[in-house]
Amino acid sequence: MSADTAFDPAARHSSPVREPILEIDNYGGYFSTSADQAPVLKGITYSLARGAITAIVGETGSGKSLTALSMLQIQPASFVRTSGRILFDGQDLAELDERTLRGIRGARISMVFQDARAALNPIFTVGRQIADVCRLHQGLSRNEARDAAIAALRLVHIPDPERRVRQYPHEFSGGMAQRVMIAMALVCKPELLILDEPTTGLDVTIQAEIITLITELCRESDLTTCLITHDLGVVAETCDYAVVMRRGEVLETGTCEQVLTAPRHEYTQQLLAASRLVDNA
Amino acid sequence: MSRLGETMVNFHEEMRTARLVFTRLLWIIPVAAGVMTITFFVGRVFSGDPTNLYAPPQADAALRAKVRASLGLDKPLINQYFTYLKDLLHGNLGTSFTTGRGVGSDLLERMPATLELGTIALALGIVIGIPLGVVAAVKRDKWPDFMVRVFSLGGMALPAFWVGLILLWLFFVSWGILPGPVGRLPVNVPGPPTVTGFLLVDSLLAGNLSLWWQAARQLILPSLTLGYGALGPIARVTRASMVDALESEYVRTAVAMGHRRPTIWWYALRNALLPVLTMIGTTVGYLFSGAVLVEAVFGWPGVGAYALQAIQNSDFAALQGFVIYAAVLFVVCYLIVDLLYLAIDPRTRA
Amino acid sequence: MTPTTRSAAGVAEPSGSGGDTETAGPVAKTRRRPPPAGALGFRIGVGLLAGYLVVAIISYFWTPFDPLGVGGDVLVKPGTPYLFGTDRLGEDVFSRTMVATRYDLAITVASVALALVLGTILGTIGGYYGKFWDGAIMRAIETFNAFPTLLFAMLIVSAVGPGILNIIVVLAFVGLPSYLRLARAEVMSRKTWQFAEAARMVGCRSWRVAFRHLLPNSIGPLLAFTAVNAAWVALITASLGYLGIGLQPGVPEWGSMIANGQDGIITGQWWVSFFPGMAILGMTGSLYLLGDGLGDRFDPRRRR
Repeated sequence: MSADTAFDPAARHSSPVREPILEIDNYGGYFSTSADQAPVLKGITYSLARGAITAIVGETGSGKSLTALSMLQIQPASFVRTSGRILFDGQDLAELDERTLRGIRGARISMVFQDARAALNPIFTVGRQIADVCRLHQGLSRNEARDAAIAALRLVHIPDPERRVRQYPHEFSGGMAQRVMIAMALVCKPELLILDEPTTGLDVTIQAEIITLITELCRESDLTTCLITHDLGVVAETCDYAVVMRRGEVLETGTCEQVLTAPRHEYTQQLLAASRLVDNA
Repeated sequence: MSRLGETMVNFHEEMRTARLVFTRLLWIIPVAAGVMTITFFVGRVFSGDPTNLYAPPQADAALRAKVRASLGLDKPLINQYFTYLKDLLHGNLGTSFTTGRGVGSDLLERMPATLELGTIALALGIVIGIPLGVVAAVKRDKWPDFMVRVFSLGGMALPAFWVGLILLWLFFVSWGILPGPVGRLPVNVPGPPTVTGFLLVDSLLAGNLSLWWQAARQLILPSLTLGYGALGPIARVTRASMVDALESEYVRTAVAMGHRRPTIWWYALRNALLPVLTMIGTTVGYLFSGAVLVEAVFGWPGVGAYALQAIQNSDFAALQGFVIYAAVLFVVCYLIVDLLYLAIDPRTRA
Repeated sequence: MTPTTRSAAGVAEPSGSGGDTETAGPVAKTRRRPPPAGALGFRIGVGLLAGYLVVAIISYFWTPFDPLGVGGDVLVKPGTPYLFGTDRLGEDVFSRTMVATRYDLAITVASVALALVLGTILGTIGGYYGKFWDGAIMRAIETFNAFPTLLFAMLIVSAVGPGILNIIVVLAFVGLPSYLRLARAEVMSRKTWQFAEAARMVGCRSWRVAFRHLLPNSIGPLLAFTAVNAAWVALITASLGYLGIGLQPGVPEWGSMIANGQDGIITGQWWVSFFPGMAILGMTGSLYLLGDGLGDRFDPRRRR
C-alpha cells in the first residue's frame, strides 16, 4: 500500500494548529453487486482540517465521490464496508442511527452535486426546495423560510432573488442552478461543505465564477470545505490541502504547495505533467 | 429586472400557455373528423347494403329503390358522406331500427348509468392503484412488491367479464351478501325522480337514504370488476415511474439534505405522477371497452349494453353512434389530461 | 495492474475537461445493476406458453372426450372422469378447453405476427424516409388511437361478419398503428447512428441500410411490445367470443365457453365458466411476464 498515511497537515501548514473536523481512517469496502466483490476502496485515510479547503484529486472511478457520499452515509446501498471508520466531530458516522444522521445531513454537513439541474427537483420552485430545508432543520415558519431562501440566493449573488425563488430549475442556466445548489447547501450554516465536482459540465468562464464564489464563501465564514475535482489548476489556486486518489487508494496527501511542487508519487507527477501546470508555474 | 419587465415576462408566459391550450383544443377537430370518416367507411364499405335491414326479403325492386332513396343510398358515396357529416354536426347520429328512436337520444338516456359506473371504477383504480404502486416501488424486490405485481398483473391479464362472474358467484351465490345482476336497482324498486341521472346523486337529492344504499349495493360488484381492470395498469406505471424517481439525482439531493422519508417520497411521487396521468387518460378508453363487457355481466342498462344489443340485432347505426360517442369522449379525456399536464408540470409551460 | 476497480459509485463522472488525462487500466463506467427481478417471471412465461403450444398440438390427436360430444352427463361437477366437469349440453369442459387453446393461440399469434410484420415495414419506411409519408402515417395513427380498441374491433367484426380469418385480419388491423409508431420511433432514434452513416458511406442503398442495419437493432423493443400486445389481443379475442360476435356459434373458444357457463354461475355451476377463465389468465399472464422480461433487456429507457 503506497498511501502516505503518516499525514499531519497542521504541522506543515503556516496557519495556527487546526483540529480535523472529519477523519477517515483506513476506510475500505466493495460493491455487493459486483461479480468478484473486488474492493473499490482500500484503506482510505485522510482528514479534513477545520476551516481549510481540502481538495480530493483523482481520475474517474478513483473512489473519491464514493468516499464523499460515505461522509453523509448516503453511499449506494450495495456498498459494503469492510474496514475503517469515518469520524465526524469524534463520532463514527456508520454507528449513528438514521435519526441522528438526518440531523447532520444538510444541517452540519452539506453536499453539492455535479449536475445541479438534475440534482434539483424539476417539479418544485427553487424557493420551495431551499425553504423545505430551512423548515426541516430550523423549524422556521413558511414566511420565515421563504425569506431565508431569498437571503440564501442573495448570498450566492443570484440577481433579483425575490423573483428567482418563484422559478423552477429548468428556468436556470447551469451556472445559476449550481449557485442555487450552493445556496441550498449553505442555508443552514453547516460546518462542513462537500462539493462533488461542482464545475464539471459548465463553461470555462462560469467554472471560474463558481470557484471564486466557493472560495469567497468559505474564506468569509471560515467554513470547512472538501472540494472534489480533477482540475489541478483549481487546486493550485484555491486549496490548502490536497489528497490524491487513484483506484480506491490514497496515493499522496499534504499541503497543496507540497503536493503540487514536490510530488512524491509518480502518478501525481504524471497528473501535473499532463495538466501543464508545472510549465505555467 | 424592472417591475415592468417582470410583468411583461409573466404576460408572455401566460400568452404562451394560452396558445398551447388553444392548439390542443384545435387538435380535437381533425381527430374527430377522422373518427367520423373511418366509422362511415367501415359502415358503408364492409357492412354491405343496409337496404336489406329495412326492406322485407320478398320486397320487389320498386320497394327496394324506395327504401334506398329514403335512406339516401341512391346518391353517390361522396354525397352520402357529406350528408352523414352534416347530420353528425347537427348531433344527429341516425335512427336505431330496433328502438325506432334517434341513436343520440338513446345514448343520452343511457349515458348516466355508464358514467356513474365508469367514474366510480376509475376512482377506485386511482385511489387503490397509485398507493399500491408507491408501496411496491418503496419496497422494491421485497414481498410487498411481489404481491402488488401479481395483483396488478391479474387486473391486466384477467378478462373483466370473467372477474365479474366469479365475484357474482362468491358474493351473491355463495355468500349472499351482495345483490345479484339485475341492474342499477333491485327488482320492483322504483328509481328516484331523474335530475342528474346518477342514482347516487338523485336519491340523495330526493332525501331517500335507503334508496341510496340500495343503489350503492348494486354498484359495488360492477365497479369493483371494472375498477380492477383500471387498477392494473395504473399500479404498474406508478411503480415503474416511482422506481425511476427514487433513483434520481434530485431524490439523492433530498436525502443528502436530511429530509424525512415522507418528504422524500412526496418529492419522488410528484414527479412520478406525470406518466401515471397519461396512463389514467389511456384507461378511460379501456373503461368504454370494459363497460360493454361488465354491463353484459351485470344487466347494467348503460350504453355498453346498448351497443351489445345493437350488434346482436345488426343495428349498425346504433353501434356506429356508440363508437363515435366513445371516441369523442376519449379524445376529450386526452385533452383534459394534456391540460392537467400543463397544470402540474412546470416544464411543459416553458 | 489487474482490472479490479469497479466504478466508484452511482455517480457518473464525465472525464475530459481539466487535468484528468491519465486513464491507465480499464475502468468500468456504468454501475452494475442487480439481476432483473423479472428473470424468474420471464422463465415462467416462456414455460407456460410452451405448455399451451403443446396442449394445442395434442388436442388435434387426443382429448379425453369428444369436445363437441353433446349428450353425455349434463352439468357434472369437476372430478373423475370429467376433470373440469361438463356443461349444460353434456360436453366435457376439459376437452373443450384443450381444443379452444388452438383457436385462441392461433388467432393471437397470427394477428400479432401480421401486425408486427406490416407495422414494422411501414414504420421503418416512415421513420427512415421521413417527411411526407411520416406525416401522413402519424396523422392516421392519431385518429385510429382515438378509438377504444375493443370497440373498434367490435365495429369492424360486426361489419365484416364472424369467422377466424376475419378476426385475425381485424385484430391485426386494430393493432397495426402501435407497431408502426414504435418501429418508426426506434428507427428514427438510430438513423444518425455511426454505423448507419458508415453503411451509407460504403455505398449501401438506403432501403438496405434501413432494413439490414437499422431494423435488426430495433427488434428487441419491438418484440417486448409484441408480447404485451399479444396478451391484449388474446383478451380481445376472448371478449369478442364472450359477446358472441367472434366465431361461429359452437366453435370452442374460451370467451364463448365462459358465456355459455354464465347462467350456471347463478345456479351454482361455477366450473363451466371458471376453467376457461383460468386458461385465459395463464396465457395472457405469461405473455405479460414475457413482455416484462424482454422489456427489462431491451427497453431503450433502461439501456440509456
